Amino acid sequence: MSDNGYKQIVILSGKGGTGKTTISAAFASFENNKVIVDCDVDAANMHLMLKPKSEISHEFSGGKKAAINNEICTQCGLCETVCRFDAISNFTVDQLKCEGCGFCFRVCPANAITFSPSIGGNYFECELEDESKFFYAKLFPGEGNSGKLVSEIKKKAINSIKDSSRKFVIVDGPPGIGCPVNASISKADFAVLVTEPTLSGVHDLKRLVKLLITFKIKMGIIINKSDLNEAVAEQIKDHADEKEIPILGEIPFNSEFVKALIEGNNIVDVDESVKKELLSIWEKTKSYIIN
Amino acid sequence: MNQEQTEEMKNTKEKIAFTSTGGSMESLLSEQFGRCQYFIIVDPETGKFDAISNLGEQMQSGAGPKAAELIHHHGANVVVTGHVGDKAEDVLKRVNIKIVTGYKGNIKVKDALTEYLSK
Amino acid sequence: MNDLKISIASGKGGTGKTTIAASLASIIPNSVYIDCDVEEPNGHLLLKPKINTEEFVSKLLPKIDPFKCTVCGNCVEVCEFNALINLKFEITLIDEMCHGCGACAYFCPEKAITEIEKPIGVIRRGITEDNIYFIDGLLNIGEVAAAPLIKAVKKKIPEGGTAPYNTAIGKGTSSYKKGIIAVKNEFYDSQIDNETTSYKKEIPKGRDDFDKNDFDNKIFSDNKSFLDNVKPESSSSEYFKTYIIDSPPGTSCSMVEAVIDSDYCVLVTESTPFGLNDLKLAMEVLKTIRVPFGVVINKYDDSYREMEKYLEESKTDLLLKIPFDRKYAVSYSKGILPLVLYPELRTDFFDLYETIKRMIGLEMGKVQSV
Repeated sequence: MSDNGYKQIVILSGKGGTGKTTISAAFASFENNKVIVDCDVDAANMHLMLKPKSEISHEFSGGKKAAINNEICTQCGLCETVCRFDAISNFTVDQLKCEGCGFCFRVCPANAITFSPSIGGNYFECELEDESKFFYAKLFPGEGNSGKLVSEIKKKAINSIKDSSRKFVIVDGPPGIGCPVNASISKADFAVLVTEPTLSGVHDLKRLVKLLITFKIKMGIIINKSDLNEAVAEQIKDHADEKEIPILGEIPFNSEFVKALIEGNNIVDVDESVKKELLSIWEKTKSYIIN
Repeated sequence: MNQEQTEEMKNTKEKIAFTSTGGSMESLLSEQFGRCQYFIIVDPETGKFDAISNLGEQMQSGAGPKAAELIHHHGANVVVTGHVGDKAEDVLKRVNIKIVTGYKGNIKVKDALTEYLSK
Repeated sequence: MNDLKISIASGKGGTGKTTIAASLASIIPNSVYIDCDVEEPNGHLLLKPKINTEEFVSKLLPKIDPFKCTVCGNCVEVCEFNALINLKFEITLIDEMCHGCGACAYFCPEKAITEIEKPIGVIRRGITEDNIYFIDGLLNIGEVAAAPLIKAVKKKIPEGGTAPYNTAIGKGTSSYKKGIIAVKNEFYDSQIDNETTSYKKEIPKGRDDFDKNDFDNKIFSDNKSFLDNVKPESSSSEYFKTYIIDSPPGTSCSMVEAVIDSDYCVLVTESTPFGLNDLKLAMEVLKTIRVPFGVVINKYDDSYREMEKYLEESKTDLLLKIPFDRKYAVSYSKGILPLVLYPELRTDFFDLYETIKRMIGLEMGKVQSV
């Protein structure tokens, strides 16, 4: 919570393909006056669904990379000798292999190597039809998602809410449990974990729950495709019980999900029963945040 | 840590580092440790404070431990923040900085100071 | 024909990449499945290999001699990864952050830093019930160095393939599975350096010749005639090995590390705008690193035309379409490869394999003619 009383909800899944983005977009549609952030910068997708009416592009810096200035280079080969990432050959640096350690830059006797931040990609500040704000980013190939980038894009989003009457920040979190996830959950009031009853789904869910507990962030679970495997679904519920995490809802396997995706529609515009279920999940989520 | 250093710790005055979103006591506290914008380091006896900008905000990785190093070099022995990561925690413990977590970003640094001192 | 390295990648998670990779490995004779998704390796859940060797992979870490160190801070300054922290009374290292570049040791004026090895993860090797050689890497939690582990896993590729599964199978005993496992360790120990070619000559019989039959008979006894039709012709050209490399999802440096230098990359996508968007990103990476590729559309839905339209426009090869079917998802949720339960999929994967081989052949022809 912050000074103007907005709430921040982050949607996470651990494993990819569980329906996290679809559910995030559904939640977003239930509220006017919100800010949406797509933190899955490795494979940003939400913009395809939200169809922003305008966007402003900004650059962000990635990791530092070395480059050899061939006019100064004396071809002594010391850089190639010290590089442990096989990134230097024929007095040029392979940008994809360069790890960014700066060893060559520091060791070069002729000062022929530069070492500066590369452009990691772009982030976009968008406005939606209902005048909500939306942020997403695109990385250049070979660049890794980083906590820094997620922090940066979230900060832009939060700044845009500060002087407004917007009530909710909805964060579509990155997959996995690494540093980008840590950055995406900072300051969150509540985390919604979208999981599916598959072996890998449960595996990833448990790791995520552990992480959120250490951050003392309240959470709830949505079991998507819940009827895919009853036994595994039970396992999820047992785990939730044990950790005292509420099950916010279960959504049976529904081909409308995919259909909506294909047509670029929001699931809530397509299927009434799913809309009802998701709306009740959203109301429940809100009740947990307010208490 | 040897005997001498332990003695030194006992004799030094308390200096409290707050993670902050701005450079003054009026700024809101930052929940993030490694990637906060500023550290406000307060001497509670005199009420004087230093605002140190945290380079960790711009770091690709390892911002937490680096932030611990920063406040250690500025003589802090308490840190008040939202959450501290494992790696940063290790460093803070190594240099005997007391960790106070669980603060939310809706409180001003000066109020967090009052709250901390009243405990 | 030489050995083949086929990588399986996808821009987006959850497209079925691992299922496709494991399915492909399961129908290819002499295949070796390599799981390079070291942060979340899931291939073992589907292939259920019996693991018989585990070995640690290390990176080099600096070790500071406290008697020589003057806490000058030079090493801290040259470390780009913030792995070294100056505590004033000493310098400490945060293991997980270190990329092992060696700069600190080089620049230490007191020569106080030496480098020691530290495990970052483990490489597991084994064999599955139907004789797929299995290799995967498992990164330690909290470790940042995924790419070096992937590199190490890929270095195991030649070793994984040279173990003599053909000898055991060639005898045609029904207990061949046990036989293989028994001889395997011995071979890892004694014949790791054997040239691939040397045993190719010694063993004239292709593994697929009967082991697929054996496997098929057990599981699809009611479906035998069908399978006879789809089984690929066994010929002398089948003695090369095929390495199926399961890449991590996304387009980051670990994906690049996994797919680089493969002969061909299969990009797995799904019939949604998300799938298409992520596919485009992955295609960009492959073009940059010059790996030829084709596309498999998983969870195919013919109402989404854009995907095929895009592939056509960009002149990208469409290798296979796997229809969207709930029963495949159920099978996966139980950790069973869909093609084990639904043999109609086997035909698709045999075709896919043939297509890939043809594509690689074309690609090689192209290279030669240039």
